Amino acid sequence: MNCPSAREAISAWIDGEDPGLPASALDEHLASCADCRNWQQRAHELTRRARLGGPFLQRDLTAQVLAAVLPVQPGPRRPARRAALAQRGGLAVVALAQLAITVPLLILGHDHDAGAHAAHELGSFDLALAIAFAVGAIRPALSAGLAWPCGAAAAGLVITAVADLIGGQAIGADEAQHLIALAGAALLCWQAWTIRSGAAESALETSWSWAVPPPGRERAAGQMTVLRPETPPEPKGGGSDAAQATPRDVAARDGGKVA
Amino acid sequence: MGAVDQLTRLAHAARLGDGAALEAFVSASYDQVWRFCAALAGPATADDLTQETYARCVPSLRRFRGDASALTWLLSIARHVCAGELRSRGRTRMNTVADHPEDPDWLAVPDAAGEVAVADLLARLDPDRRSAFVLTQVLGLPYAEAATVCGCPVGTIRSRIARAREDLIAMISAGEAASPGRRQAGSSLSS
Repeated sequence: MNCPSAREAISAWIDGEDPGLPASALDEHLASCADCRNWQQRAHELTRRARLGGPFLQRDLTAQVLAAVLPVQPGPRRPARRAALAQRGGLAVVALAQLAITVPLLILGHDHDAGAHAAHELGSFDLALAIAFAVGAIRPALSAGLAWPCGAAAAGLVITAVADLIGGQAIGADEAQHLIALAGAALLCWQAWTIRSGAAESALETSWSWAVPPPGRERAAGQMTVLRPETPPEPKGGGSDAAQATPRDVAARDGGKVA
Repeated sequence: MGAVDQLTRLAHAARLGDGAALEAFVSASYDQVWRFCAALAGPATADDLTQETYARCVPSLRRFRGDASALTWLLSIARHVCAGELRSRGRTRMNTVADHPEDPDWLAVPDAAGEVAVADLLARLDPDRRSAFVLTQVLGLPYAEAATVCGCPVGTIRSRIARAREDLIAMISAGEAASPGRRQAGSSLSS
């Protein structure tokens, strides 16, 4: 093993990394090479100073970095806007249609199969659905909550109508009206899902843009102050008074020593 | 390392639009980026170079997939920024002490306290060796992460660090030889 290889292994070993050579070979070389033993000691000393030395930042400049960052949220994409329009428009139409159903029930008390009182009850529930669809058109954000009861009502209407059909009853115009409720519930569900997935997507696409710092922020040259920390006391056998290096303002020196 | 993982977590949260996470990401990493830039290109320009590093990093957050750790990613950007700065100064390769064995300007003379400024020594290293040395010694990165930052194999990093140590020790020794009276009794070894 030659000295350069040994020194590379020593260097890696000081850092706690794989030296790439078997430890026994290194020990053998060190046993016979005073230069490398010397070098190893120096390398330890140097490492200690390098890890503690060097310029340290004394001011917090993160605010300056953050001040120049602008969060940029992209708007909803084109297809999303068209879908949103279709949803709200559809809900408005359905709300009006549903409202039209309630008029004979509530106000006139007419229903084919039921008496006046039952007609009023049915009318109240149909009115509730109409209002739900209207709210979905006006405040889309509430769709998720509205979708549940409307979906349950629509499902109930459809299931019972199908059961009646199987049971031999004819499908009349009344049953056809249930399709309006079904359409309204479907629109609410679609709108709720669109809003939820749209919110997640735009969060993922938040891009941070970088703004030019406002004028007057530039530092004048030479304002920088760089301090070095105190180096730890080294074991000095000779006992010198100047054992500790004190932090110094080295701005002038560093200004001239830019690498 | 727990600290690196934390930074990577913050980077991902910032990518998804979390403003507080972005702030924490910058605060947690700023010191290390600054020290790296200061060691590579000098403390006088470190402020600007660090700002430039974040100027490139923040808009690129959306493309940060987290294959590497956030710190190595950030330091790779810093390395490119500093390399550009050194190029613009017209010095792509620093002369090393080996080129000037007898030149008094190149001797690292210890000061009154018996210390040779580490920053001065580092400035005289070859940029690749300086990067490798600073990343591992000053910033405490393991060789594998330093290799990622520098875009080279681990073996290359290992040899660059060893060569950096050789250069630095040679500089210190030459300086001591030039002014033996000022050498403090700190080191028990003769050169």
